[in-house]
Amino acid sequence: MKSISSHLSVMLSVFVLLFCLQFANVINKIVDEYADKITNDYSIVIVSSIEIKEEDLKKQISEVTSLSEISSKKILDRLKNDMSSKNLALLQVALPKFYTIKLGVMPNQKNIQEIKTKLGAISSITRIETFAKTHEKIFKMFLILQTTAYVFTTFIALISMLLIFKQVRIWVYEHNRRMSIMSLFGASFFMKSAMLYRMAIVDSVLSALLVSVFYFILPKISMVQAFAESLGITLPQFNIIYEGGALMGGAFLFSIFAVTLVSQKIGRA
Amino acid sequence: MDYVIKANGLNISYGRDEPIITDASMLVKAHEFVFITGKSGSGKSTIIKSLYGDLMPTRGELNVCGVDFKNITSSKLNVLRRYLGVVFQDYKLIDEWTVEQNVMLPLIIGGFSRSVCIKQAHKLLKHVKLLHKVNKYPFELSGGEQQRVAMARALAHNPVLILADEPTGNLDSYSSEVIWNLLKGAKEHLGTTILVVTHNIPATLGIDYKHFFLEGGVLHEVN
Repeated sequence: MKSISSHLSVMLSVFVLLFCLQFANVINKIVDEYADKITNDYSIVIVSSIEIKEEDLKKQISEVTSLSEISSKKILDRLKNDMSSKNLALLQVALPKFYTIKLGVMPNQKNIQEIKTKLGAISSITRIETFAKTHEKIFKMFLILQTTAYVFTTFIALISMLLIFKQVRIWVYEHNRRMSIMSLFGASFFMKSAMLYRMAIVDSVLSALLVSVFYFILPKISMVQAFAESLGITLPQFNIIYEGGALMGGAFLFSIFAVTLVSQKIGRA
Repeated sequence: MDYVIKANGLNISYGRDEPIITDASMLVKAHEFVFITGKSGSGKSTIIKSLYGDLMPTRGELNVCGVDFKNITSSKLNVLRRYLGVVFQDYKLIDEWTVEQNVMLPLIIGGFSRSVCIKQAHKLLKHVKLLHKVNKYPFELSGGEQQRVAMARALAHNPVLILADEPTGNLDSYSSEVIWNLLKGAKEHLGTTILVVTHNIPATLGIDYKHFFLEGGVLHEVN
């Protein structure tokens, strides 16, 4: 019973640690995807007295991915009935060019201001509309979400790590007598600690497996999918090979690190 | 190498306290049977501890099985300990291991295959008349039986030197006889060097031995 609880305390701590890391990873992916979505929807509108070429603008502002002209045909069509065709032709010539600019990255306030300054430097541009306030609100909301997720993850991960170190310390004390007897017969450090390494590795790998299964199944649950859809987000799929492998490898390395560190520290004390 | 232990002007102390052993010198040749006797608290166990490197001399020269203790590293100490068979007063058996596993310990450390370890452990347990308790745990054995297991463990890897600290101190006459016979047998048949710390040398031992007497922290050779 005692042995099961000591295993569970390591497994649970490693599980929480890996769960938090993967949670941060998922949040990061969701935020990145959402940011991409917003970036696609976001555009800057400019008014220019003369025609602007996309290549020229891209050379001056690297964040620009596309420049497209807003057709004035709709406005002119609306005025067709109230104006003579001669006046309409004159107006068409006098009307400035309207463009929408798409950016490659989700800009922050500083980026927007920089882009605005660069656009303002182009003499033909008479007006720039960045929709900065609306954009800023959404951007800040995401920044808060991402930061909260990181702070939460760091905090929980630190507590989990402390719990793991504490449990490994208890293991070392529990096995201290056996280890000291083995030492009297010339056992090397790794031979003495082999049992601790085995326990830590098995517990960590089992925890990594549980976390992998959890994140693999989660996006496949219809209730979770419906909830994500209602929020307008897509839950990222868990990549068993890369992400699962990273969790396993991380847990494996961390368990070796924890046992080595604690055993050597106690051995020296 | 004609000697197994060479100590010259040894001082041994616990921490920064006054030395318990002062200016001890001892030369033990290969295949010798040596006794160190003395009153309780005279420092007999302290000498044994320093010989297997559990306590480092604060002064003097010490060489055991060709390993010099001056600036000894932990890996060298591990190598030395693999040449030794130590019998402790408090047995030092691993509680969560069976009798068989305890006897196998020096062989496992020595890197022998599992089948060799089992074969050797069974052979020795037969010698100490405990083969029927091969799967028992130390807490299921009497004190005498535990010491016999410890003796089997000390002999398992055919050590160059056996260090025995009061091996029969608290034992019944049967267990004591088994232990002395084993030590005698190891010297006579395997050529093992034996150093025993004890209160009393058994009268019926029947072999030649060297005798050191420890008094007031000073080691005297008794002729």
